[in-house]
Amino acid sequence: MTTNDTFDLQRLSHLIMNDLRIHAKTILIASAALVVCFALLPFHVTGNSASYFFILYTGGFIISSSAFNDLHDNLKAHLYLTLPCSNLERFLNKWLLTSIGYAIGLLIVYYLFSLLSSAVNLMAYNQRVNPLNILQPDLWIGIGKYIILQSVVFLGAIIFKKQALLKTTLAVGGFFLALSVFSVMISWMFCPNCIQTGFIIYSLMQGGYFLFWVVAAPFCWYLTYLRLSERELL
Amino acid sequence: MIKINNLSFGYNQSSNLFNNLSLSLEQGGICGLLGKNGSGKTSLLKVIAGLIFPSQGSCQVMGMAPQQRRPSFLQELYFLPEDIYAPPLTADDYVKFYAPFYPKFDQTLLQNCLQEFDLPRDKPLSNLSHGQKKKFLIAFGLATHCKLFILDEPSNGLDIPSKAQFRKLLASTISDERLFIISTHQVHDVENLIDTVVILDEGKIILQQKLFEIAKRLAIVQQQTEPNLNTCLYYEKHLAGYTVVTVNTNNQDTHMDLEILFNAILANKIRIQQIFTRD
Repeated sequence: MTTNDTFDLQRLSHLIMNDLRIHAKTILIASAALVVCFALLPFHVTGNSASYFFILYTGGFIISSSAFNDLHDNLKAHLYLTLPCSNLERFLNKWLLTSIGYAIGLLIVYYLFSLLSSAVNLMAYNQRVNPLNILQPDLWIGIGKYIILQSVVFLGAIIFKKQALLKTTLAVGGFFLALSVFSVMISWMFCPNCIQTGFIIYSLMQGGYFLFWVVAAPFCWYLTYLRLSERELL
Repeated sequence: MIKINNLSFGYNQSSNLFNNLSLSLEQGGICGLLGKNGSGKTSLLKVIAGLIFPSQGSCQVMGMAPQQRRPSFLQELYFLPEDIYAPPLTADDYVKFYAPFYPKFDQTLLQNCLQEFDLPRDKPLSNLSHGQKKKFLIAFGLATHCKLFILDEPSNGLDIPSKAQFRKLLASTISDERLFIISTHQVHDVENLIDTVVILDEGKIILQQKLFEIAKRLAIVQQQTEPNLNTCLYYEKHLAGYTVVTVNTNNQDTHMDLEILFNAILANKIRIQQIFTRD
């Protein structure tokens, strides 16, 4: 039997199951905390996607920033890097769990709670409160934005050993600050006394903003994959 | 099985740990990798396992480049490091979650090994002692039936009965297709198992020989009187007299004490290398 050295769905599913089982305790504690948070939310809030997004972004970034903790610990990395699976499977395992997996898992739990909330509201107060509408486009656009932004945190998680989230935030902040300074300098160099200076800066920033949403995620995923493939136990 | 050509590697750019190191090992048997602290034993094992990458030269293991970490390569490799990590899983769960990655995993062999080591299967591995964890991982590694089993200081942390059990299990799983590489300071723990000796010193292989070849050319004898260093290669004084390493001129069949041999080779590097390189 020949082994597929690039991708094997069975190996990937084993990796995902291993990760979930090993981190089961943390996942259970986090889930319990979420359930308590949801239970404390006022009834009308669970029908609103804003609180879902708050938990999606804060929780998702925290989880993503610790996605490669095993890789930064030499003892754990030994086991992780010698496990017979490809670098692509290692990457996909972590990415699926911290991006789509987390967003959808959270959505399911949140939606069930919103159903429960509206049922309790109807029975106790005889008031109809709409549950979360999972078909609304804004919800899925928000999840898409999370997946793009998460790719930056994901890259930060493999680059920075400690306090990855904080360091990634600083790095991204620094990047946008540099971009703003660059835009101002460019507009000032080409048209120092123009009345359109503000417009040029705005256009450059908009261009950067557009590029960010289109290019950032694939670029970060590729860099994360490279870092993972090149990881050495020095 | 392992072909290393002109390998260079260093942890920093200013100095290299290995410079043009070459090594070739065939499958089958047990190779003892010996060396002083800091001689590069663990680093060499990591290069072979694809955990660190050569800066120059090449390393081929089973016809593959280890640094690519292909699943087909990793399925045939098991690396037991000196400092081990065992996840918070019971032995049964560990097997359930990790064994599927190894297509030749042998549950019966694992059962036998666990029984031999007398290990609990229902306690989380993270709660076991260092020695117990190590025994479990040795048992798991043997059960993978991998072609290359690398053990870095395997007897560290094992109690006296466990060392004997370890030797027994290792001996029972030796095959022509499988190569064990054991790096150790405690040579007495494995000296009856080893059939090839590789000695690493200051990033260089200073000796690579089959043990029977060494025994053909060198003799280790006991004597009461102090030997003359002009006639012997090395000696050590002990309470009952002297242990002497000499050239085996009259085909004596002597026990190869690896510790004495190692010290002799380090103390008399060039002369002993000449003995092995002539004819």
